[in-house]
Amino acid sequence: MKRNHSKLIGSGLVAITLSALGVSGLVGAQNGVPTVTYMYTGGIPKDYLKVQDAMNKILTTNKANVQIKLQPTDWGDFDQKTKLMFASGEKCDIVFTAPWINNYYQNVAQGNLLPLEDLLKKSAPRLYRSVPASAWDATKIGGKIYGVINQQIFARIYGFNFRKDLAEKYKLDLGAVNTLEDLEPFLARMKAGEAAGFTPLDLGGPTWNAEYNGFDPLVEDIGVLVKNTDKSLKVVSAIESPEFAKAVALQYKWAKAGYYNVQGDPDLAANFRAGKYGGKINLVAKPGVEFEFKNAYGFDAVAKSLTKPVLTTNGVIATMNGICRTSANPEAAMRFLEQLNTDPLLYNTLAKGVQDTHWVWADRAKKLVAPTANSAAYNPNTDWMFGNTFNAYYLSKDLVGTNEATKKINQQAKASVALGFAFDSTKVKSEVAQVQAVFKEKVQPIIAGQVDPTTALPEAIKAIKAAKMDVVVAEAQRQLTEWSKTK
Amino acid sequence: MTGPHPERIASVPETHTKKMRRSRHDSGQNLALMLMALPGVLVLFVFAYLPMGGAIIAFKDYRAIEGILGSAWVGLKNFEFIFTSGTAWRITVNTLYLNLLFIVTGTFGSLALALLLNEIQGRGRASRWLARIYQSALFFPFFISYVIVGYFGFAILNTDTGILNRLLEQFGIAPVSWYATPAAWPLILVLVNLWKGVGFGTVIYLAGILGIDPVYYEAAAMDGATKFQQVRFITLPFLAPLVTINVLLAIGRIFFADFGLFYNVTRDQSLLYPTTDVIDTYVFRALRQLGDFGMAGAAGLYQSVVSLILVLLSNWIVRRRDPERGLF
Amino acid sequence: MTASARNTPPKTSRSTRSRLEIGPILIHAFLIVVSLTFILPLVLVISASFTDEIALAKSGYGLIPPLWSLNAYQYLLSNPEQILTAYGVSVTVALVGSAVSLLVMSLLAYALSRREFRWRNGLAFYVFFTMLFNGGLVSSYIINTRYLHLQDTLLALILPALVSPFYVLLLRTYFASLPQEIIEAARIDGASEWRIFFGIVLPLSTPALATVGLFAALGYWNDYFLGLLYINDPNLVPLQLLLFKILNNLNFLATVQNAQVSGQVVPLTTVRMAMAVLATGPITLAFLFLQRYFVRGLTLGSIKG
Repeated sequence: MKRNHSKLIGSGLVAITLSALGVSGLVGAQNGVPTVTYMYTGGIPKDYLKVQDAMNKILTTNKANVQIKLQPTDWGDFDQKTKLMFASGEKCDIVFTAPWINNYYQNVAQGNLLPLEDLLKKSAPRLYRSVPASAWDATKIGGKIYGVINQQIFARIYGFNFRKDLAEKYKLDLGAVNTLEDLEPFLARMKAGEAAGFTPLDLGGPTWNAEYNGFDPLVEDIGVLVKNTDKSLKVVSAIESPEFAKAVALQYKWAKAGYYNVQGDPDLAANFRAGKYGGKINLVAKPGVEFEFKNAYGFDAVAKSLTKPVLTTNGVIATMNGICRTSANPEAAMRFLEQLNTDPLLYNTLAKGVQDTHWVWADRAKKLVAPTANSAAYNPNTDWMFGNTFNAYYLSKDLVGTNEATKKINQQAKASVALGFAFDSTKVKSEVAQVQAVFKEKVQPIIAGQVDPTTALPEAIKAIKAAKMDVVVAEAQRQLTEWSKTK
Repeated sequence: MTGPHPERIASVPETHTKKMRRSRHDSGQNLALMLMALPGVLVLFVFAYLPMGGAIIAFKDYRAIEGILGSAWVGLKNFEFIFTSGTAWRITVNTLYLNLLFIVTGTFGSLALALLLNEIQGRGRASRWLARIYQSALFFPFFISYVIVGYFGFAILNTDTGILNRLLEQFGIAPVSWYATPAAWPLILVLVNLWKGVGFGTVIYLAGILGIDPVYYEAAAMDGATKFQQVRFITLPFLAPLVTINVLLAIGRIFFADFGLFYNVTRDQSLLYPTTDVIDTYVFRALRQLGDFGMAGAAGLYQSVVSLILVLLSNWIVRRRDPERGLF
Repeated sequence: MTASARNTPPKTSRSTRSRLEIGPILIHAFLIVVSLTFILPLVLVISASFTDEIALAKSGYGLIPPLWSLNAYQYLLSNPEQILTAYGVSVTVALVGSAVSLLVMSLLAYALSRREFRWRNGLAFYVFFTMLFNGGLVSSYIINTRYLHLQDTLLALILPALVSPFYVLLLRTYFASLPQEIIEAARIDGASEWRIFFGIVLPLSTPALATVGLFAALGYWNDYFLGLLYINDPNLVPLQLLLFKILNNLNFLATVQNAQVSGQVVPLTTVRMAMAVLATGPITLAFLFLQRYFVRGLTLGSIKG
């Protein structure tokens, strides 16, 4: 009897919750102005609805004939949710897409995104003009643009940052360091001089890097590459290249010497702030990087790039916004993107919050803003997700001018021979899947210096060949050759 | 894919019916029973049968535009990536082997702890109070998410600062890089799994022991049976049905077992795959990297089929020993 | 079963008393050691959550924080309604879900266990078959969102997991093994099937019901995948999903922490630990208090041999 009773209460609860839920979550067009949705990733900030209101006010003032509904989605959910959204044919308008999250290539191959060229010319002429033609070319797949590029640092530069105090203490001569090998004496001095728990570098795997070795990664995660200056466009498998062998040999040597943490470190940031690391070798040595270092880890930094800036497809299209095939009003979506990329206030409202609520002007002439007590309620911290980052206001006086400097680097960067080529994996999907599995299992440990490459590398090459890497390389070669003819 | 013969499964209980069937087979009773079954039948229809057609996705080159039905058939192509380079064999063996270890150690651990707790339960207030504390302590880890367990494991096992290696150092043993030593991981996973789950089984078995009528023990004690004999001839036989049910439950869940354990505690370290990669983790990586629903569907189908074979097999074993204990 | 116990020949007649005196002490000692090992990591988690992050990085995990700090809790509790809501959602889903699930499953199992039931074989196969195949993620998702419109409702967290064929078969076996004479007698007395079910079968089956119910409740409690798929509304996020989201977002923050962070550094490591404490603390305490009733519930029905 008692059991029965609780069941009744239970179903009552469900009914109540249900009716309470029925009301939420509906938007429509108001006064004939269409509303479009914008799905992107990042934590869901507390005040995002306030930001949405402020953006809609600006859109109304601009007579943009479009209203926006923001759909921030958590990092952990974004891939899964977009995949299911597309797979199930759910409707959407604008969605963030990139080679590294909500995969752009997969989306285009699956027909999830609309071709944008006509829409751009018609509904976003200023946006279309503001992006260099070479950058638009990088987005093209089968000759069509499927993504609106967020302008930012396009060029890929490989370099390092070290704590300034340690660089001085252990006499790092920036001028004399031109290769990773040149860093070794400095790393050795640091390792010997600091206490036992100290590690000179924060991460494993920095010695093997496609860009550092002059490659343009065509299929980045399995190391299918082409030399970025090779006019003959010969596609190679990274792990069979002499550059790879040399890099991983160095890596293993560093691992043995204890220059970095072989297993990685889940508490990296905290340990870095606690002074347990000396510095990092990484891909983006862009203007302002010392400031970011200081901000993240609390130490002043010295930085140097080891490569000349190069434009590769993956670098240029690192962050984009696409329009869904299921969008009911693609033109309205494009009108919104035009506004977002050309109206600095609209853009900064999305990127930094509502003026006078989440930020205030510090120096308007220098585009410098200051946080308020409310900043924590809206702080997505991802300028590069939303639009042209050259329109971003500066949050620190140390950063003033970095936008222009970055723009200049982009302009001076040399284009890779394969800039604008994008690999379509549909025909070799099963082979790519096998190679990916082997790569993760056999090659990653080598790259991370966890195993001795003299024995492990030949084994890995054998395994990856057994997983039909040659088929993938041949297909990439065929597509690349074909692509070069149309250029 | 044919699975077991449906009639056989369904008709099994029939064999030991003592012809209790009354001729008075009124349809009113049938209707009442159907009504009782109806909610469950409906739920299964909507959430299991309706989506079932989607399983064909495993044999298709799925594209959202064309939909599930419209996408092109590709035969067994989606299965290729699992079955080449011996992966299928390895992940299946790992899944079976590790889970078998878990079930055996978990069952024995829980039973032993339950027996010990029972021993001290009846010995005064203080003892009973302590017993409850032990019981809670054993149960605690059950609530900790595997994500956290993973971070914690790292604090214990990492090469340079890990607690374990620092301990080994005290005894003059050279540090071991645990995350690069696949051979150690079956044991590590068994220990973690025990730590996390043994309390649960203990509570259930203890409850079972407490449910046994004390008369039996009194009689046995009168006959001069030792503690050990009482356990052997009274407690364990009484617990047998409960143990069987729990073991069967565990076997049925083998393939839907703790993804979190295998993924977070091993920190997805490639070097450990030879001994720790299971079907779940493999499928997860495949879907995350490929974003291909056809291949994920194929992997899922493979998982269901192996799981099914396993359940049938264990059920068959149980039924051979004791026909009444089987699930079907 | 009982036969074997009764047949035990009284072989030994020597007194076992003297040995039993040290026995319990050894048992206590053993259990104390085991309990401490089990508890230790949790103490370390709690201690870490109250430690200053940099101090933690420097001196490692310890029983007592070398430098106390409430930063992690301040960060998490700057938005307390989030965690409270998630708690509410998880508790509701686990309670309602497991209760409804148990009712639906045991009704179905009972029908299947009755030999008089004409469609028994057909339905048993119907249930069993769902263990054989599942339609996969995409088709379930399409049905749940496009046709049932479950997204952003609590039902999305409850309904898909309501009937587990495995538990149904398990309960059926249990019901079928109950002494049929009692049911027969009740039927002859004119009791309806409902009456037999609620009045006789359920009370006799408490151990099976408690076990399955507990499994179902924990299944609901630990699930975050359904939430991940179907919940966007921040007010309906269950606790485990919230934990998952916070950890993920923190990990991401750690990698992109860049110029715009405006000086505020999130203590990632300790927030992780504090989240674990907040997410599991109350439920663990609740369990402590409820444990007695739970065990009593389990023991109410005598175990059948």
